[in-house]
Amino acid sequence: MRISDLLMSNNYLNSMNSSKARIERLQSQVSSGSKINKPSDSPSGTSKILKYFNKLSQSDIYTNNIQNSLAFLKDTTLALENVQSEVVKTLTYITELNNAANSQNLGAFADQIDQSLKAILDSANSQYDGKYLFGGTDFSSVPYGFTTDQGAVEVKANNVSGVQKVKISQNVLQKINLTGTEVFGTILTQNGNIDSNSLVGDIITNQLSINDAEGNSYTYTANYEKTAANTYSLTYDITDSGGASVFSSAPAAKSITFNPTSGAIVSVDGGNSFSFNIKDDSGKINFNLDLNSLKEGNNPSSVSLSANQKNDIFNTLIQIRDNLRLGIVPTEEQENIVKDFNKRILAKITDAGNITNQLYDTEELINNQRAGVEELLSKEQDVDIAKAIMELQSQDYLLQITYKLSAMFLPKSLLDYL
Amino acid sequence: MAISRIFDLSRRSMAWYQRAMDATAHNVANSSNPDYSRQRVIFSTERSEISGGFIWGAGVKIDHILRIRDELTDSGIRTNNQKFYSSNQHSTINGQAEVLFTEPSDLGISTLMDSFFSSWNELSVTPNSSGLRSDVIRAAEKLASKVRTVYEGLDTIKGDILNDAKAKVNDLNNKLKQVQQLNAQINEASAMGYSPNDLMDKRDKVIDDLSKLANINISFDSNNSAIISVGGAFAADRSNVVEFKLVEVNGKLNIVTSQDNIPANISGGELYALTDSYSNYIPKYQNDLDLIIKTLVDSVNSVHTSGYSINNPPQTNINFFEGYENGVLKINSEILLDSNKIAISSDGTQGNGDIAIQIAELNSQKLLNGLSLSDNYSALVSEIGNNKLSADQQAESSQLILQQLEQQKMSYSGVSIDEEMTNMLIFQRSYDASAKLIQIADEMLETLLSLVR
Repeated sequence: MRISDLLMSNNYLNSMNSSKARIERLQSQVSSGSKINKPSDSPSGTSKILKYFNKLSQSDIYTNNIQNSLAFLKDTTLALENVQSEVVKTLTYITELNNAANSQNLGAFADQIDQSLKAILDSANSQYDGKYLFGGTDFSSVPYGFTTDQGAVEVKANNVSGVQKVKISQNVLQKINLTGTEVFGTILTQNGNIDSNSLVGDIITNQLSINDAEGNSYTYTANYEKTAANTYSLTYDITDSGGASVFSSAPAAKSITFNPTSGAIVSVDGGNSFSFNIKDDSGKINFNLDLNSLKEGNNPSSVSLSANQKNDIFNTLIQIRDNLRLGIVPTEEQENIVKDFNKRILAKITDAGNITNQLYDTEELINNQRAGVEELLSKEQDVDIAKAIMELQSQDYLLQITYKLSAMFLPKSLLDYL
Repeated sequence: MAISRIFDLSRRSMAWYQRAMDATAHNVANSSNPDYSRQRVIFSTERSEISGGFIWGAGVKIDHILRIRDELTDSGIRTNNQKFYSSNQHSTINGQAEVLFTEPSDLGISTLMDSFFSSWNELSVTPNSSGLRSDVIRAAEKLASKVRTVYEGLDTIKGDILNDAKAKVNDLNNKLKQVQQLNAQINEASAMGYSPNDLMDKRDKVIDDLSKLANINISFDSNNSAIISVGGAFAADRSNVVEFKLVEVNGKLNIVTSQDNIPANISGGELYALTDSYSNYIPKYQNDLDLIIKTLVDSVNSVHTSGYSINNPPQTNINFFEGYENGVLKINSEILLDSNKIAISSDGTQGNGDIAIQIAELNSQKLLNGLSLSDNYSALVSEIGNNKLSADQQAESSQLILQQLEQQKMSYSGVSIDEEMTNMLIFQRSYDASAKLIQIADEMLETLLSLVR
């Protein structure tokens, strides 16, 4: 091969350039700590990294949501514990009232019970981060408050049965609040079986006596009229002792459908919420109707209604207080209402604890998954610094040799010896 | 036979060796000129004389000066020039595009889209928080501004490509003119019996440069004139030269002849990369981005319209995004004024965030091409990265071939100082020897003359 001077110098330049290009790449990896600084460094790696970023950002948000919900639940539990301690106090007063020696001090007891009532009401209206703990999802006003004549406590918000749901993982939507209805409210449960063999037009009627906030008795009447196979129309009314409806206009009928094979309820007005709020125009009658247990079956119709309470805790306490002021000690029925409420609150505290545990479990799961994703990300992205430095050194060595050799040979020619 | 013949023969050879030294000097002077082909002096014997029954040699003469050049290497270099320069340009353009996306980092559309959806998720926990509502708006604004930067950046690249292509077409036209002029000069010199070596070097250089711009075809006619066609369209020969221009039809950039609009089918060189990127690559990137953002806008809006705002009275059927066009993502101006108009309540109560959860869930739903939006986006980013990488790899492989061919060319045509110095010594010795002969002949003549005295 014939060697020309340009060939020599070009050869030298080429090898020096490729050596420097390798050094440049290694050096940028070491200084940024990342193997992939632009998509063309590794297109498939980039797409993986973006996916991992996405997963990490999602787990961040789930962790955030869980933290937030835990704080909310902590406040909920605290409020419930406050309520419970007031209820226990009240029960103590009622027990003490059974002692005839205390009959002189009924007024003082009335004041004590009034204190407890106000404390419970206060807890029922407590907030976390601008949200009423027991206000459902309607934060337009305080959930509970006295009526204008101070004679009763009523639900001030439109609806306290709204469920607050929080997404705590890819597939889990967790209910994090205990609704006002669950804790303080009245729930009418419709049980039993509607005969699927009945004819279109057949009507099944069910009735239950309910109380308003002031303890007055009313009658709730529900009619289920078959409109088509597996489909019924629910119309309802609430009438006072004189038989007059409390509604100025009849409430809209609800269409209910059942699963033809299992007989379970599948929709109410096309939706999948089987519990809804019923209240009168004044707001003194306010309860939730729960249709979850209603079924359709072959047997003859056996539909029944039951209520979790006749009077709510607020108004029971008001009645006890007012009666004490009139010199009347609490009845056994009233005492039972308070005892039942105590059990209910304890159950709700347990519920809140269960949700809290569920959140902790999910958080741990998310943290584990997160650690896995972070490890994958690091594998894809992080530079093995030790390895890179070793390579850098060997490239540097090669470059130095290139310099030395070219400095030795490039300037020489026959010219030097002539 | 006269002694003067020795004088004559030696004088002529001295003159020839002096010329040979000239050629060596020319070679040495051009030893660093990469476009120069070394020239070799080809000696031959002078026409001999017949006298006294013998054929007498009449000394040396320079037959011609040979340009050392290998046509095969030249054509290999030109073919690989087309490949290398188009791949290299593709790589540059895709490199500019990938930088715009700033991936993978916290500043890219991917992360901003994630935080946009996360902000909805967070809002769903405390739906009545005005702080979280503004967070949603801020996240949307950040996303919008990045989308706009990327889209406008791609537009700028397109504009730059167009300017560059215009300049390159001008360059092409100038070079074609030069080829035609050089053809004419070379032809003229050849007709007069000269070998126009340096003009041919010049023409080879211009043709090499042309092969960097576009796919050209070269042939030589009997008069050693180069006939060039660009992308199949005749471009230049000894007497004619054709001008080319850029035309844009339906967003596609083409090169046609200025006079007759004959299209040149460009498939190599920098002009190929420029027209191809302008017509296909950049519009595809913009299109893909458009599709992703449009789908985002449509799906967020379609969920958002079903929700209720929390201002009094609650409103429904509100769009979150006003629209998206040409990289500009607009948030509903009413929402910008009043964050309470973000409609995430499914029943009108302030504490209901069901719609926000549904919007957050869009992030993992397969909304486009059977993939989620972020997967679509990372597919786009890795496509750009892939295009750059494969252009880099093609450029690298043709560069390796080019380097080898250049080495071959330099080995064959390049000047070696050692060789020239050796030649110089040889020519000098021959020159010296011829001079010595004259001296000897002079002495012979002197001897002869002294006989006469």
